[in-house]
Amino acid sequence: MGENNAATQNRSKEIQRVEAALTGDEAAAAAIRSPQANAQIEAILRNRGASATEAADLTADLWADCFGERGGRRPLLEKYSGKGPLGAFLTRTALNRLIDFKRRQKFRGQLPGAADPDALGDAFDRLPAEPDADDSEDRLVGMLRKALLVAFAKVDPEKLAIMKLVNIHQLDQGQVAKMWGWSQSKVSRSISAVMVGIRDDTMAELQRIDPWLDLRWEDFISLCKDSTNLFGEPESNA
Amino acid sequence: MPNDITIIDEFLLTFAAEVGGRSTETLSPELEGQLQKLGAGKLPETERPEVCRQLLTNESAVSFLLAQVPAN
Repeated sequence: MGENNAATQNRSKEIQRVEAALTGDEAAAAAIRSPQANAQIEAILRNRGASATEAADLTADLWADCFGERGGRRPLLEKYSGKGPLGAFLTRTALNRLIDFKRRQKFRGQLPGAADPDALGDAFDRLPAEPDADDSEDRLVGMLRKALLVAFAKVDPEKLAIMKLVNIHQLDQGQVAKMWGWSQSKVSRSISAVMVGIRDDTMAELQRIDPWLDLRWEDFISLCKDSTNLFGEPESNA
Repeated sequence: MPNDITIIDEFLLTFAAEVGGRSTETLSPELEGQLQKLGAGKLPETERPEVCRQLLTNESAVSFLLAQVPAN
């Protein structure tokens, strides 16, 4: 309860700060674009496969897009809804841009005169733009979702159902063991194997999609959680 | 890890994945019978794969099964 209240208050402060920054309050903008926030985003990008130069350039671009219109696009912070922490929103957006940059970089060799791999800005600017892309969400969610779908498709439906009955629907392992005529330890082993399989196959699929991306399973789970919190709509059961 | 799957499930629900789709189709009398047998530990092994596929795609099947299982 106390934690929820604190989180709600923090979120409320962040929304107020964002609104102030968007109306030109320099102090509010400086608080958002703090050296700590800058260092944190750069570090996250470096830890996920960006070079130091790429991390610095992408972070600088991110800040430039936060507060004002650029290239016909509205300020990025206008998209912040306050559903999750501002830091998570900025980190996700930066990761989306890293994914976008790396994917476009793969095609750079096809471009005339794109020989200097360190000339990030030059090469980046020559690549075709994606005018309608929402870099706060789409690519990351799509990538996470695709990797999970591939991993789930490899699981035996019976074992997947057992795992979900226990881990999501909170059935006791002993009850499931009676239903299947298995020992409880067999149920437990089966669930563990399914979870390991989902984890390994998800990570393998992510590697296949974007080999440069350096994500750990904990990062993956955290990104799923942030995606749901930041961009998810409440599920309609109608 | 169990908490991980809850996070994944919410993510897939939020972003409308097909995995564990949440249709709420009406259950056929045959499926209800199979779910009753599963809850009682009497569903033949050969029928389990199809029943499990229903459990993964039809929320009504899960609810029906859970109602068959006596609380601990």
